[in-house]
Amino acid sequence: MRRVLTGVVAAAVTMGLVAGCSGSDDPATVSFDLPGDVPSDVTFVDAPPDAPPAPPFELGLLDGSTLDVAEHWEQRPVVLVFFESFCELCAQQQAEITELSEEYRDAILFVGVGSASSEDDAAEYVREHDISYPVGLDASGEVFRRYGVDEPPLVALIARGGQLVRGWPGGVQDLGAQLTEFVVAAAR
Amino acid sequence: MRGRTALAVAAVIPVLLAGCGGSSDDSSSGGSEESGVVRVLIPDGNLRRLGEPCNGAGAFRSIHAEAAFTIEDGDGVEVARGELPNGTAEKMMDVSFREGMRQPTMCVMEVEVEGLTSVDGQRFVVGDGFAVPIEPSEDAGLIGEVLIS
Repeated sequence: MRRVLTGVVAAAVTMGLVAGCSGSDDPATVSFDLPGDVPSDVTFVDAPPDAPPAPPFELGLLDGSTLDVAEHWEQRPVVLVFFESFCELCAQQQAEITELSEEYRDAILFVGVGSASSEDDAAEYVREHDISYPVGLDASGEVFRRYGVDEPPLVALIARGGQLVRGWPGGVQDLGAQLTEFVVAAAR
Repeated sequence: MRGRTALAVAAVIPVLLAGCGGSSDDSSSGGSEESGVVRVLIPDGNLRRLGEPCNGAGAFRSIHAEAAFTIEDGDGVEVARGELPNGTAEKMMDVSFREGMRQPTMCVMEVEVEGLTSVDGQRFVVGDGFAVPIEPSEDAGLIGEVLIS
């Protein structure tokens, strides 16, 4: 009996330590919410006629699925949030972005795009910042190149229809005001 | 029997704890308790506000916080290794910009390297194939300086 108990304790200690070691956790635990139908009381702002088309791309998400971003900007504006898990400036700005993504949950699609981060570290970043919008990795750096991202953070704003209306290298202050100026009419 | 079980558990725990070291801190190893600080300059010219946190940009994107580095002696033998800390944006050219305005900067990292007491003949190896001689520094608190190129 004592041997069995000792074995159980040893196993429990060992498992506890192993679990405690895995700071990276299981990437499979990351899941994302896609927007539902666009609310009927939302009005989108048209892009200026000279706004260039945004480069379309597909993104492999951390939950294993694939997101075709262009499919979504046919329905609603898209905010691309270029980040890295090791980017301190990204982390400093993340709370406001996360909050806005919740506020505009069905009206605007937010998409997180990392590149050099590992899957584990990116998933940890997602959990740490309570991000529920889709996040994926552009391991080849192609999407970063097409959007001119030299260093995250960079936030890009795409109007409904797929025109690139704004991009903010270094991130953006007061993104909420920018959204109501460029892509979605302010609620009355 | 209890003693053998206890020994087995004791043997496992240090191994598991050793595995917990992970790569989340920016500490480095070199086999001694002394340490030296190497200032790493990344002249990427990226537009930033002075003093804000940064990582290497553009061609220097592989040089970022948590990226691994090694220090080699003149024979190419590794003498220390570690992970880079966050950088800080510093003025790149002597031009007056409006306060708070984004301007061309370099990203500067102060890397504390355990066991590093001299940089004579040593190279700093980091990112996508950057291997740069470490120049001795006379600045207080610094043992050497590296200009990535």
